Amino acid sequence: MTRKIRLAIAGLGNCASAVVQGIHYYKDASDTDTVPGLMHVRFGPYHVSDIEIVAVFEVNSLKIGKDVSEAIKMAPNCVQTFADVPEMGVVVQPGPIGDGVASHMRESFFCYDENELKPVNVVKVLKDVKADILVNFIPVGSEDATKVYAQAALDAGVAFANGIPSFIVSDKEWAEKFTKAGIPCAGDDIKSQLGATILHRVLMQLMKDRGISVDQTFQLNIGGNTDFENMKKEERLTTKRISKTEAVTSVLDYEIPVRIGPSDYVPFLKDEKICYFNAEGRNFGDQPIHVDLKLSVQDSPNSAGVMIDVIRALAIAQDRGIVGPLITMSSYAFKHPPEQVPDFAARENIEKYIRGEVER
Amino acid sequence: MSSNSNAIKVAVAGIGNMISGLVQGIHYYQERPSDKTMLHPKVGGFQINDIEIVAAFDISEEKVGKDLSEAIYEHPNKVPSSIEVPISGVIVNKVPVFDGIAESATGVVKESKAKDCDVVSVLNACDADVLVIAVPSGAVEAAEYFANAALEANVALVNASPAPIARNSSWARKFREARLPLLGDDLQSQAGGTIFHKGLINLLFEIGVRVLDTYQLDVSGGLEGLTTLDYERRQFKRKVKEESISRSTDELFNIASGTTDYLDFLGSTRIGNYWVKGEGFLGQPITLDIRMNSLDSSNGAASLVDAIRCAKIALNRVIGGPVASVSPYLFKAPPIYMEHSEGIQAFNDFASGKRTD
Repeated sequence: MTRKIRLAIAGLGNCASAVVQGIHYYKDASDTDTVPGLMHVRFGPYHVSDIEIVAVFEVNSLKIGKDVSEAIKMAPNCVQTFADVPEMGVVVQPGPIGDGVASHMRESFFCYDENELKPVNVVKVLKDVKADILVNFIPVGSEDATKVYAQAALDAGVAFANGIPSFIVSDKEWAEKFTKAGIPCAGDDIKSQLGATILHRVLMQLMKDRGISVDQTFQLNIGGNTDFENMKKEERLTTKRISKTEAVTSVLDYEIPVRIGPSDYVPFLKDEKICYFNAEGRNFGDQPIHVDLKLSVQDSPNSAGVMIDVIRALAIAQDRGIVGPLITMSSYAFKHPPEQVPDFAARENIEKYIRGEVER
Repeated sequence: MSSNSNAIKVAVAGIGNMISGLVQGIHYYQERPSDKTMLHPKVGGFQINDIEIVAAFDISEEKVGKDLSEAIYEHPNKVPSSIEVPISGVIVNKVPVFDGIAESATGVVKESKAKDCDVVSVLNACDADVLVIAVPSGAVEAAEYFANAALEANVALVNASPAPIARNSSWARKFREARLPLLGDDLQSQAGGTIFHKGLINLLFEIGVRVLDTYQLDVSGGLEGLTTLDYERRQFKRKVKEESISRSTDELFNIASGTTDYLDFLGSTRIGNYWVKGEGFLGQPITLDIRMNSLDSSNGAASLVDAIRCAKIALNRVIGGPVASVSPYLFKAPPIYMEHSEGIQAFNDFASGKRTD
């Protein structure tokens, strides 16, 4: 009988909702089933249903005080409901706000009033509920708030998975802190199962491998969830744009005009993310070649399966006494890992990690 | 100057891509009188080559002081040259900036150090009939400055920018009282995104498709695209477009419409992505994905040559205030709305003299 993985979540947005729903959606899946978005139903010794939510931190007054099963449905969450989540007896608690809420997002996030409500002591809660792992799912651009949660994980002795592009696991100093504290971590910025970045990279790689001279390319991303609303302000997404752009340009060994969005916030799209790709190039005889692609996907579930694998990889690390950044898992599952490993090689390596053939 | 008794003397404010398209168009169709891409060869007896540019205003150091034939190709204009434009003898005058440079365009457009001209005296001196406002989106103060100049100089006004002039009751009254025609606001490209989106949605409702959600999101490399990177200016422009499309039908649906990003390497090319989610018979889903590539500048100029000729007709007929019959067809934010077919009819009736308002 394997232990339960006691999971704490900071930020119960669409991504977290998709994780919570996924745990229930696949609770009866057989070990040998192939589930889209999970490497394995049983990842090492852990079945999907071995993950148990024990604490949730939020800033949204509509979610605070409610059972997690109910809170995941509160506005502005708009992810599709694909699983029946039973009441779990875990109540959402007020977390620190810090820079987690941009000024233009206070209303959209129904942010609680700090004069009326005090944030809980995150370290104390993590210890009280005996959490094993803390997942960071707060909004893009929350540099300080991310550090607060990372520090809380360190102080409480809890493993840390960083879903957003504020650099912790890929930051030398922070990684060192986790290693010294004897705690495993994985990050940064969760990668989707099949998202814009990977699709654009593969397209560029293909054009390069087939000898096409690429002259220009763009990738426009639009969506209607709060991730897109949050990123309306350019200063909120500077690092996001750079990392997304570099991920694509790094494939080619020459410079071309490139534009990579987040481009627009269209509320009625809700959690549907739409991405337009265009590439203009030349083939033999300098003859023109145009590629136009459209990707349409439910944004939040796209990364939830990946996160569920990360959680179980961290649990394995705890069982084996592995501390500090999980290099292979971070590269496979995150956009900004401490070390980039080619995607297909990374997946092979994780199989070896599960079998105990490689350390991290 | 020409000895053409039919001449329409036009002053232009804002020498951007659209005015470049206008100047080129005048010469292009002179050589191609029967070309079908000129939708209305004659409007109320006026041909495109009756349009004569007599004065030009701008703020950019790259345009002020130059002959118009040269200024229309200066940075950041991106219109390809379709035709050789002869020296016009019209030198671009410097005007005050007001809010004519968006925050995101600072650095791209530098203000000329030349002295500001007196717009009213320039308009009077060249005996202008019509002033065209083609300042960037969001430049409301600049547009109002030119509207005022038109009143003082006693010339008809065509407001191609989205600034609220023709649809503003106090401006409308001033032009009515001055007995000067006012056409606007926000010129609608002849074959551009808004008209196509409107037509598409109307067609869908007409054939029994219930439109639920739709967007038309486009990108371009023109200054207009850069300007709309300012979130507030983008929202301003977008509201005008979305209202224009929503009002073309009584049905309710979700809409997002407008420029979504700036890609400098696209030049004046506009790439529009259209998407419609709807329901047909038995509530079954129908979706459409459409992509349109077009050139902004020429597309706007095509409507502008009609608007200018209508302004001259209205001037001859001494119509004061907003010209109700032609604005719905030619502009995205007219003082009163009409359905597309009704708008075309009203435009034709006005041109032929059947309608006089």
